[in-house]
Amino acid sequence: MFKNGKWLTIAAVVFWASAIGLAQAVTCPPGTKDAAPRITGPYKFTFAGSQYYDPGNPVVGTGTFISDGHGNITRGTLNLNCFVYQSTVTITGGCYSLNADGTGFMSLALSDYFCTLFDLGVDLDLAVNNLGILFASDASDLNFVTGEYIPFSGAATNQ
Amino acid sequence: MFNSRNHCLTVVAVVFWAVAIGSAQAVVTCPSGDKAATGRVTGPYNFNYFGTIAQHAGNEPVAGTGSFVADGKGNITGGTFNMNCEGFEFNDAVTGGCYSINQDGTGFISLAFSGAPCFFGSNSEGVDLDIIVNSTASEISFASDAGDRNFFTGLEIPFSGVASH
Repeated sequence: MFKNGKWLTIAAVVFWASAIGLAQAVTCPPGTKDAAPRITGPYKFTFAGSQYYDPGNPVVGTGTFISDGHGNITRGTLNLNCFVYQSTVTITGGCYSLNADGTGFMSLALSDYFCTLFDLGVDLDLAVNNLGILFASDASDLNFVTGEYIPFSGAATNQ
Repeated sequence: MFNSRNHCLTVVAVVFWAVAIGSAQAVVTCPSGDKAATGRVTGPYNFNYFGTIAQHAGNEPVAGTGSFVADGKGNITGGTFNMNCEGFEFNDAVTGGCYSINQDGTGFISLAFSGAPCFFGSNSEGVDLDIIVNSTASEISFASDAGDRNFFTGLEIPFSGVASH
């Protein structure tokens, strides 16, 4: 009876984990500690790019994310017009770090594959200024390989 | 003994000289521009951009971010330049540069890098940019320049972006 209960518990945890889409663990460079609060609260963004290996495959999209001001992305959404197919995925978590000069790094973990082809998230290089958060996909593959296949850039502003 | 000591001094001098010139900024030139207008662009700017490699039929996009610092006198004193190119990430330092602004807000910036992004040669260890500065100099729109005044990067990679304080 206990064994059955154990298996039921495991099954319940697996079901729960898949249902909420547990975020993949991500890491970001240390950055400058005092700079992180410059990104706090809800942001909305747009971006445009193109697939690297397949000419003429544009990618555009919009989205939102929420930053806690301590280097963590708590949640958000990502709407993708990817090679003319539309999809919406959830940002399940992430991290970010800023340097003293306003440049930095962000990693967003997704509930589904970016453009259904690449990875469950995307790494971004950041440039924070008066316009908001300017970003471009990063190809160093610290957490995700998406940036290696789809160079894109965009801007995020406080909602 | 004298020869050995002299030899050592020569080696030290050569190493010192090599280190000294290794840290020197690339020599770049900018059009004369307008002194007052040039003086409006000062302090740190951050930017992003998007473009594509010219010789590859538009199928090799590039994107990136970066920063530069202007001294208000036509000189770029530092910064960073990141490029996502051909699936590789390039992170270079901006080692120097120059800029000039005309009275109508158009102008030119040349940024010298610590290396060449996107596997291009030494003639691409930097980028020339055509720019438009807004009325308060808080925003600078830019596009890579293909005139090869200082660097070939703009000829190889047309891109555009925006910088702001």
